[in-house]
Amino acid sequence: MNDNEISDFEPADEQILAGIRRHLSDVEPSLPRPRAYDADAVAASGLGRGRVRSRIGFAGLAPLVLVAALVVIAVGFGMSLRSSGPAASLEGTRPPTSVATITYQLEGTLSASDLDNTAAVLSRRLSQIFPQMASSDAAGSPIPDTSRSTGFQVTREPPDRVVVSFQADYRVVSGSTDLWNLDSIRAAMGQPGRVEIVGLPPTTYGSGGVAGIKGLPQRGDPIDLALPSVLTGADFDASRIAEGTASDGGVPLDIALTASSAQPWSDYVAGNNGHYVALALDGNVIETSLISSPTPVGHLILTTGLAQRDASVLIWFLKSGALPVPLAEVSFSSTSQVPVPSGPEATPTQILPPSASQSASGSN
Amino acid sequence: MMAVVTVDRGSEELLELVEDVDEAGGFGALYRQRYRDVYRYALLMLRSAEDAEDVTADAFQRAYAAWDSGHGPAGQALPWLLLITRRLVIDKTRRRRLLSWLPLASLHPSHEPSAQADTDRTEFWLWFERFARELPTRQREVLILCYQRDLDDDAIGEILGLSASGVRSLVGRACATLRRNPEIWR
Repeated sequence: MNDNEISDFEPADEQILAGIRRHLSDVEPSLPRPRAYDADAVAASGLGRGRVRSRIGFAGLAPLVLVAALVVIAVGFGMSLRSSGPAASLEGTRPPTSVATITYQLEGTLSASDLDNTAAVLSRRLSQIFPQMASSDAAGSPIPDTSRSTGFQVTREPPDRVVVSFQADYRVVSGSTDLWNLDSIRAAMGQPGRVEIVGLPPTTYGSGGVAGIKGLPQRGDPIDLALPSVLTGADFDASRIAEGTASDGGVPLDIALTASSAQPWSDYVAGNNGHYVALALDGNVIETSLISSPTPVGHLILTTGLAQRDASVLIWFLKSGALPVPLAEVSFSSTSQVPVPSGPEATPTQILPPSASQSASGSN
Repeated sequence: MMAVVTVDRGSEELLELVEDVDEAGGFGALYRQRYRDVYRYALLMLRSAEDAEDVTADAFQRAYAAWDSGHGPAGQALPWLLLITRRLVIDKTRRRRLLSWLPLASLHPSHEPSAQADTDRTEFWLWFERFARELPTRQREVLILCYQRDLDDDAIGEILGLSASGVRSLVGRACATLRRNPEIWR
């Protein structure tokens, strides 16, 4: 078959591309148009045309004018403004801090301590997140510590609500490819975070080299609720949880056990050599592991297939503990994340003064 | 020349305040001219209107930051914008993977592709699902970029990190795949 014969029977690439273009063009009606410039909204927000023009018209004085405007706004709102670097100061702009506020409602029948315990867990979760936030932006430019995170606050609202507010440099929350950003914080904060080690009976799931009547549960599978928990989060010593060096298989975890749990675990290991256990988070399997070698007394050492980021999330849950009761997110808000000249909309009322946020992180 | 883009994520809605001070154009003009192109690319790559909206907002925010600090596009603006958008799409996809395997079962509803339910019902999205099933991501992406007629092979290569011949080769492979599935392109 020569080329001519092929062209007789097979469509040319251009013909296929034209067909794909025709199909893709069907998406056009669903594409939104950028909203028109809203002069009233701009004027109301303090970002009016006149102000911007003044920057253009008096280009040489623009930095001074805008810095002065910043000071006025700062005084007016009683806020301390932050700047991430000299460039921002010279331009009279500051990288706006993103402030997110999430309100959670505690679900179920509550005991007297549930509200306090929930607030404590949420505080521990947030206090671990900020040191892990990105230290550079997407372009690799360093983000100063003072700008990276500016604190958080966890407020109890009896009888059954907890409000979490946190703020961070917009580059961290919106542009970061790092683990923690607005989306992932929001997704993970209200999760129960119940970590447990569940024994998998050899008669059902097999043991080393011998298949059981059921296959081993895979990552993401719900764990059989009838199976006994060998260890729960309460058995782990949150201050001594470490990740090992990642190998081809994943990141190993070294979890120290509390004094009261060490011996029962040691006994379990001795009596179940060659059997499987499952590591589960919130009732879903993360890993199944074969008990194959003695571990140091008081430690649970797991070789996992977890990638670095995933291991970090798991350790985050382990260290901060499980929520005492389920939470439902009842509201969420966040503020501007873009580098606009400072104005009322960039300094929201929920913004936390540094002193308040520091005391909040310490007191909770 | 000055443009202001404000994103209000709290209300889950994009509020753009774009002011084009310079009569000759500027970031505001670029924004108005290319918003749909950026959004279309994000929408087709992510298949979620909500995520596409977020990514589009972030892309223009980053573009504005670069533009304002004198690091605008060296050549054509569209490849530059789409390159920024592509990085955000990759990031978004990576986050989705992370959050989807971790049993974070009760992700807030707003994180779910709520608009997807609507879009799925349309004929276009039914077709697009078939299109996406048959083609690997990279081949699909190159065809989506080819749809943008004002992008030549060099520009597409700039976005994908390929040479122009690499782009042609990728298009060729995509067409070979589609040749076996004529119902997708006819």
